This record gives sequence, C-alpha cells and structure tokens, in this order.
Amino acid sequence: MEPLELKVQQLEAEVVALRLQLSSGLSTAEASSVSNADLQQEMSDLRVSEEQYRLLFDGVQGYGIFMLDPTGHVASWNSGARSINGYQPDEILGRHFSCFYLPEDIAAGKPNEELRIATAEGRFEEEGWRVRKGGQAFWALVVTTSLYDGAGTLQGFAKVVRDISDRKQTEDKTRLMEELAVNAMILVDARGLLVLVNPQTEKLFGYSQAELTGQPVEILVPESSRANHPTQRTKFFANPSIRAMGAGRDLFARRKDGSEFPVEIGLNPLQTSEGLLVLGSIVDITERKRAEEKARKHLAELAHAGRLSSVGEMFSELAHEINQPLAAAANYARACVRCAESNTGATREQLLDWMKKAASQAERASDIVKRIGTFVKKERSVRLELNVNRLIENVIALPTLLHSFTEAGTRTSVRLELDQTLPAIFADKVQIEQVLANLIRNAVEAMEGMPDGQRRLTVKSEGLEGMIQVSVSDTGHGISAEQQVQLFNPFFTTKAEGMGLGLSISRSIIETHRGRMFAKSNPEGGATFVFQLPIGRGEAVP
Amino acid sequence: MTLEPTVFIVDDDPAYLDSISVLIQSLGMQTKTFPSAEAFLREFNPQQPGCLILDVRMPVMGGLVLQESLSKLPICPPIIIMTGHAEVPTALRAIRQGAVDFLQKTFSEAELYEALQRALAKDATNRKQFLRATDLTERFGKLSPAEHAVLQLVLRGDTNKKIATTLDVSQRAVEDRRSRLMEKLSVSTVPDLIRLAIEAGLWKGE
Repeated sequence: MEPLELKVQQLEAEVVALRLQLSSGLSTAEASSVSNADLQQEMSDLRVSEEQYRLLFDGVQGYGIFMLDPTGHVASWNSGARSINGYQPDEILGRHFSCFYLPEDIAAGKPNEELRIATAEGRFEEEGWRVRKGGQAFWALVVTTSLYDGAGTLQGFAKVVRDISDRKQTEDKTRLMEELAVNAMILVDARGLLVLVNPQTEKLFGYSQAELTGQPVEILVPESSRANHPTQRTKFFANPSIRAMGAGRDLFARRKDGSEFPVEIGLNPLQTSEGLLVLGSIVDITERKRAEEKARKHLAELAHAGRLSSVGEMFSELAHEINQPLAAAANYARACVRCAESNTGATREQLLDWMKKAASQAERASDIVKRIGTFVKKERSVRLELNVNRLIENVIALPTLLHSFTEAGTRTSVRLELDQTLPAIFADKVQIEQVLANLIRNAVEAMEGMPDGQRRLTVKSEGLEGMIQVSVSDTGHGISAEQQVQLFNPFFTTKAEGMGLGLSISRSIIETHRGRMFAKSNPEGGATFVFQLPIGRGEAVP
Repeated sequence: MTLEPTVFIVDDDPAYLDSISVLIQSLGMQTKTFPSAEAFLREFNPQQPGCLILDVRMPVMGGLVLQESLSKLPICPPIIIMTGHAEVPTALRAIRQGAVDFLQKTFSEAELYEALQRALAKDATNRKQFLRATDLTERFGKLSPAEHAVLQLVLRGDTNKKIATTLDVSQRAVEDRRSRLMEKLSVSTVPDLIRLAIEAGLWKGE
C-alpha cells in the first residue's frame, strides 16, 4: 500500500511540474476546475505561445547580422544591420566596430574586451546599450561568435544584433539569448562550400572545424535531402533574402556519426569583398520538440478530464431544452382543467385549441429526446483490446481526481489491488475510463466529511470465470436499502448539485459492453460499486 | 388605455409565452405578451398597473438587464423572474435588484397564482404611494417662498409672535400666510399639517 501512495504522489508532482513547464498558458488554470471554456482558452493560449516561438525563430528579419575581421573591423553588413544601426554598407565596411558603442564604453575598452571573451570562449553575449548612426542609443541584444578556418585560425567574428528597446517581455529576451547562444553558425559561399564555422558547430555536429571548412554544406544535410539541396541552394543564391529555411517543413540535420536531429535554420545573405556569402544559423530543437510533445500529451489529458466533467453540464443544458416544451404543455393543460372546472370563460373552440397546443408541445419535447438519441448513437464506439489495469491507472492519475484525493487539506488513501495476470477485454477505452472516473469520483464524494484516517478508496481488479471484475470501494456513508433500489435510475441523486445521471450512464455503458454493474454495502461501512466485463472479443459489436 | 391590472410576460420561446398567458388568463387575469425585452421596452406604458413576468434567459437583452433598466424608472411594475434552471447567483442578483419573486419554470399553479397576487398587491401599494408622493409634491409646490418660511417655523413649534419677530414681519402677515398655506395644503389643524409634512419628508424633527 505504501508504494502505491507514493506513486500517486509522484504522479501528482509530475503533473505540477508539467503545468509549470507550460508556464503562461496553463499555470493559472487549476486542472481540477477545467471547464470546456477554460480548456479551449488554454489550448488557444498554447497555440499563441507556439506561434510566438515560431515567429521568434523565423523572424530573422529583425536581426542585424554582420561580420568583423579578427581586429574588429566591419567585414560584411546585411540589410537587417542597416535598418538597426542606420549605416549603408559603403559607410561602415572597413570601419572599426567600436563606433556602435557609447563613448564611456569605448573609454572603458569594452569593444575589445568583448572580442577577447568571444575569442577565448567561442562566443560573447549581452544585453546593453549600443549607438545608431547619428548617436541615438538603443537597448540591444548582442551575440558575438568567433569564426575559424580549417587550420583553426581565427578568421573573425559573426555578430547578431537585435534592437530590443521596445520589448518588455524579459522572458522572451532570456529565451532568445539562450537560443542564440547555442546556435551553430556556418558561412557558405556561392559554390556551396563551408567557409567558416563556429565552435558551437563542432559541438552540434561532431566534426572539427578542419574537417568542415572547404567541404560542401551538404555534409550537414541528411542523406534523404542531399540530392535536392544544391538546387535549393542555387535558387537561394540567385534570389537571396533573410528568411527561415524550410518554410514550415520539419527540418533535420545530420551529425558526423550519421544520426539526425530536428533543427531550425535561419539564412542571412551577406555581401562581402569576396562576393555573396550566406550565414546560416542552426538551432537544435530536439529539446523543444520534446517539450512540445509533452505539452500536447498533457493537453490531451486535460481535454479528456474536461470531457468527463462536461457530461454534467451537457445534461443540465439538455434538461433546460426539454423542460421548456414540457412546461408549456403543462401550462396549456392546466388552463384547460381550470376552465373546464369553473365552466366559465373559455369556449369549446378555445379549449380544443389549447389541448392541441399542449399535445404539440409534448411532441416537441419528445423530438428533442429523439434528437439526443441519434446524437449519442453517432458517437461511434471504438473497441480495442485493453488491459483494464492500465485504464485504472490512467484514471487514477487524472489531475481532477488526483486533486480530489487531497481536496481542502484532506487526505484520502488510495489503494490499488490489481491482478496483473488479467486477460485483455475488448472495449471502448474512453467509455470505460468514464465509468471508472465516475465511480471513483462518487467514492471520494461519498467520503466527504469523514476524518482523514477513515477515507480509504480501494480499486480492485480480479478475474472471474470468463469475466474480469473491477470494484471501487469507499469507507463513506454507505447506501441504504432504499437507495440501492433507485441508485441506477436516471435523475436519482443524493447530491445537492448532482443530475443523477452518472451511475445510470455508467451502467448503460457497461451493459452495451455485455457486462453488468451493481452496488453493495460493505459490512464494515461504506459502499462498493462493481462492474464485470467479458474477456476477449465476445460477440459482434453493434 | 385600460387601467385594469395586467400581467406582462416577456419570454423568447413563443410556445411557452402563449401557454403561460393562457394559463394566467384562465386564472382570471388580463395578460399582454412580448417576445423580447426590447419589444417590451418599446411598448411599455408606465401608467399601466400590473406586474411583469420575465424570463432570465433571453438572447440580446436578458431578463436581468431589462430588470435593471426598469428599476431606474420612478415607478415600474413589480417583477417576477422566471428561469428554467434556478441558479443561486441569478436568483440573488434578481432579488437584490428588487424582483418580488423568483419562479422556476416547473412551478405549481398555486405558486404562480400566489406570486402574481403578491406582485399585483405590491404594484397597487407602489402606485398608491407614488400618487400620494406626487400629490404631496404638487401641494407643497404651490406654496410661495414666504409661506415656506412660515411653514418651517410652524413645524419648529414657534408661536405666531415669535415667527413674526424671526421673519421681521407683522404678526398679522404671519397669520395670513399661515392660513393660506393651510388652505393650499388642505389641512385644518396643526397636527394634520405636521402629519402631512412628515409624509412629504419635510419634517426633520426637533
């Protein structure tokens, strides 16, 4: 029992961690109270942040990119740099890059210090003041990367500058900084040969600088896309622009050992004295992909939990729909009765008219019910071979339920007694999970108000002849003989806010699976709800 | 314009609207139906006594919004809020805004009848008070500033002599104004005058 409790706690911690990872979109909403609207909001929030992410990477237009020779003189200049710093290429090429700094920074020797660090460590990054042509200062994010040739000789520096004066979101800045710092930078000439690479390129691809320089850039491209790459490259050189490579496709790069990894690549044409060169900046997005996948899974889980809790809402909506014509029919009928009794006021025609209207309103209610019937049937049941123990574990780990075990500072102990040798059942996963979630939620609610030590939930799975049996037991208030009769009737409820449909729906789900469901009182107090399902495929499914 | 009390009903479900109107007529009351809050506001005549049954759940302008705008009028029919699914917050808001009753659409005939009787009785009282208040305002409005000044001092319990000194007029003038204001307010004794002043909110006590 101890290890299982521990497991629940671990799961709980994991859910919390996941939610933290999803920072902006998900952290505010408590999973336990996820309504459909919340969920949709969360999903669209997540989409927005993905979108922002993408823009961040694709938005290479916002970067000034230029190169310095080893002594710090500007060797190349792109249009992004022009729009940020204000210099035309002929004004700046050959000048020392200290003209981008404030006078006091120059006096303090800052420009050369940056190059020293970039040389020693491969890169230098900072947020700080820079100066535009004309002297206007702006707050910049700057990353300086040292570039080496095949012989390991320092050939100069690539600088990426972004004007972040109007960016208030520190989060974005931090992320941008991190991403830029881990970029591999490669410089490719018109023939497609690697001219320069930075130290990060070595780390990312496993080649040394000497192995890479002078080689065709295709050495870094997965074999599957290699044949096509030179054509694409030529096209790009013919019509160069600052853009992200791949336009929405998933890109992969190839390491020296042949393994491939997902990347995003920004392309920046640079005019130099040696002609047009392209600076490619390559980001390894393996981690991000992984995080996105995790986020997607978590969202799916929340969506599932949301669906389980929205059943109640849907039925309250339906109840309103049906109630409307029924109430109208009742009104007409009452008016008829009243007039017939008092024998005054209404003519025979009037009475007839009202009676017809009452009948037609009753029919309207019945039409709505029929419509629901066809709607429910349309939701096709998908039956698969399932291990019922996995379903139990899935449901127990649902955030809404996890939260309910510790609601309002209480502590419900959860015990799973699962027979690991059980054969598979053939069932609709979502439906059976709905039943389980419903029974577990009921069990927790039945123990409301009990002292901590006496709140025990037990879910047990076992094999019977030709069947598997799952029982959910609680140590709550139990069920009276009277309640036991009505328990599975639609709209029977003991809860102030319940619709009384959970158990009746659960039982009809189990029955369409050719199983059965029942409840019993425990001799030591509390109640046990049991369902049994046939093993294997059973008969054909409607 | 009939002055017979009328039950106004606003509901966006035409069948329901007609059925409840038929039922209320069978209870011996006059009804007038409106398919939307907007239609009601367009045709509503504040002079017409009666009460209003309002569905909370309507498109465009919900019942609570209509209730809120009506509650700003000097006189408006008492409102019975009706809902398909009673929700505590809605009920609370309706009552805080001055609804006299809150009916679920699954009401019994007796509940409806009682609610209507209460609402109509409330309306009658409201109107009586309103008319009285209007009447009083009118009567006190007829007084000249000089008569008002005398009235204030009479209400304080001053003698004619003292009033004359305070206002620096002859005692005769005070007597004249005093009898004129009593006449305009149609009261014959000082206790009656004080009672009227209290009703009109002019009596601030000692």
